[in-house]
Amino acid sequence: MTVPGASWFEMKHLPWLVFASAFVFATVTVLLFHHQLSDRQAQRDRLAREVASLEQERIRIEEAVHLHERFAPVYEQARRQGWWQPQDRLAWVEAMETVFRKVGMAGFNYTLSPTRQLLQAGDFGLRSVGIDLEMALLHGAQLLSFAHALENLGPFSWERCDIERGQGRPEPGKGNLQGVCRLEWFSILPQETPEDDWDAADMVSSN
Amino acid sequence: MYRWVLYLATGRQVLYQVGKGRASPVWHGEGTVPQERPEAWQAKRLAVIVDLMEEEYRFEHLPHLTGADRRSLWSRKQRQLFRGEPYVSVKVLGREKAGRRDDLVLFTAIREAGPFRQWMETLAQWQIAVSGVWSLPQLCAEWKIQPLSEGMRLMIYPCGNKLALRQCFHRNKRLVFSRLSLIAEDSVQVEGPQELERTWRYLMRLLGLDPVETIALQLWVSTGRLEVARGLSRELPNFSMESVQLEDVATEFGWKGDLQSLEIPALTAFSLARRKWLGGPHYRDTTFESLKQSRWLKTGLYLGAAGLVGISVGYDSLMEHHAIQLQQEMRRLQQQKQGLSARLTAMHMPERIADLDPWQLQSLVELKQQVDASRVQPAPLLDLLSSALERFPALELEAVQWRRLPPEEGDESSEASIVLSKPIEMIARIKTPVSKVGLRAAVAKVERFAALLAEHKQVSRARLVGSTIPFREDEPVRGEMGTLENVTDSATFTVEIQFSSPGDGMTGQ
Repeated sequence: MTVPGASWFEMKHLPWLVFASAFVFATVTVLLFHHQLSDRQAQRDRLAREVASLEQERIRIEEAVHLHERFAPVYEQARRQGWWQPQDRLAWVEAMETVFRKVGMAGFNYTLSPTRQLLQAGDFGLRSVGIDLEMALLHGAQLLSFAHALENLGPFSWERCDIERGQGRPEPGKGNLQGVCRLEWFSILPQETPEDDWDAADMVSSN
Repeated sequence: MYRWVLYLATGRQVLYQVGKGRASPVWHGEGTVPQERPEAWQAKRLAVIVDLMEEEYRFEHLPHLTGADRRSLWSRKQRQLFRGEPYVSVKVLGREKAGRRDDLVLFTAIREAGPFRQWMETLAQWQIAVSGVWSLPQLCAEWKIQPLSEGMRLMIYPCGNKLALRQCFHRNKRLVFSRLSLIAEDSVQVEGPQELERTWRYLMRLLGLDPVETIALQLWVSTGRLEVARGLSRELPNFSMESVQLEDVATEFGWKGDLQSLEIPALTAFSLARRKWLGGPHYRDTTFESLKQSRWLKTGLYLGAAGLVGISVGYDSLMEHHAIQLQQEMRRLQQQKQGLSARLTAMHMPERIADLDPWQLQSLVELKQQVDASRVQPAPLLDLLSSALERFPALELEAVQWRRLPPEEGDESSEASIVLSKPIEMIARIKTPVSKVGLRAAVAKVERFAALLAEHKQVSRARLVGSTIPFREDEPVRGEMGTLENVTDSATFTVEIQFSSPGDGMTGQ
């Protein structure tokens, strides 16, 4: 249709061309900006993860330092008490000879049971050796001396004890007190494989 | 209020402003469409009257149908008659009185409507809406003045430099045929009869007119051309002529303008414009609406384009704003990262002890502390007893035993938890002489001894549970006369002491 005086507005294809151009422009720019934003978001997220990781590392180190400061002295003290080493039966035998003479008991029998694991906590196991004692004591202080001497060997718990005064008047050099006790000798060690229990089956006894 | 009517004829166009009892011509054209809109064109909406030689009339007898069949038949007939002509009018004139009683249908069309369409498009470009397109002969046929039952109505009026002979044949007071001839004014006496005869012969074939029958001829002409018309009638022996003066018709219409210059087109424009409602046009024109729709579409496209650009710019700005915020956040995170990295560089993990990390160290030590707290040592237990016995010198310790209480029936805890979680129970066997103090005083003393033990913060219970003296109500009492002295020489009591929690600090720690 040819119309006199038709302006650019009346051109047949121009509006479609303008619309299509605007559509292309809008689509391209929106995609570009969206892509740019997504890219930055990804960078931000990556950076945030790095910061979070560093922060976590900082917290971990601080916690480690704190734990070390708190528990290392206790560990060292316990190490001297023999908590972290296996029950040394030979040391027990040797020590008993010395202690028996030093304390001056009238009679002394012991039986060491096989080592058994009482408890598992994480990577560590609580192991124990049951000890049955039969003692003939001159007086009560010998029991305390004996218990004190045992602490040099390791941590013990006197789980059961039956101490009875003998009938009649006390006599010098004779056992006036009879003691029958059950002790547990503890140690805490890393969790062992079954093969490591080779010494657990051994039983040491003395008359 | 004025109305505007555009008269479009072959070779002549007039724009009438109708109002105040007259139709005043405000613009004349000579056939070609003006390039620019003339200043006289003030109309925003006008009605168009066509008076074209190209307007063709076809009177048809069609079977009487209804509904979709009728529309289909008419549509097919229309295509058959006028092919794809855009300006077509269909009018039902009635039905036959006898026989098959077919419908009498008048099809009219503007043939070869190029110039006419150009006018419509120009009007649309000038933003002038067209109310409708009316045909001059059909408009005149609708007039109720001087109705013609059957015969020819001949209208003579100037059209440019020629005279227009509009021949309209009526049957049963309805227009069934019309034809326009343009002839020179000085040869009207010669060409006029020839044109009428040509029409007459055509109508004889078309409508089956009787050749010997006289046809009524109603002549519509202004007073100025009355003599021309009378001269013409003398040449037409088959027609019985009757004259109708245009001034009389105009007067009946209420024409108040100049009657001297009154012609058929002006009167037709006046008759159309004076209607309250223009009513249905003879031909519909959608050029203006199409152009309007096209303009709306173009406007919509431009606005849509602007909207798209606006939305995209807005969205892009928002994205850019977010991107700037992200950039700032990244800068802050980068600084935080650098600060943390520097701080971490200065920090050191503590050295491992025996290949243990601090957390392993913690769990190891905590396990040790848990076990340690449950350990039982003889010294604290015996010290407790000794310090109590010092308060009661008459009491003598014969035997002491302690043990960890056994687990309850059905306790499924591990051995370690059984060993370590149960409280300690201690039994002390105490001997005291009763001969001097008496039985009751001895029992009371031992009970005070037990009460003293019970005061200790780590003792949950201490009580006298047994004796060689029958002090309890639920125990049987037996005796033999003469043996009281032996019985009451000294007595033995059993005191039970229970500690409140495992170990209870009775350890050597």
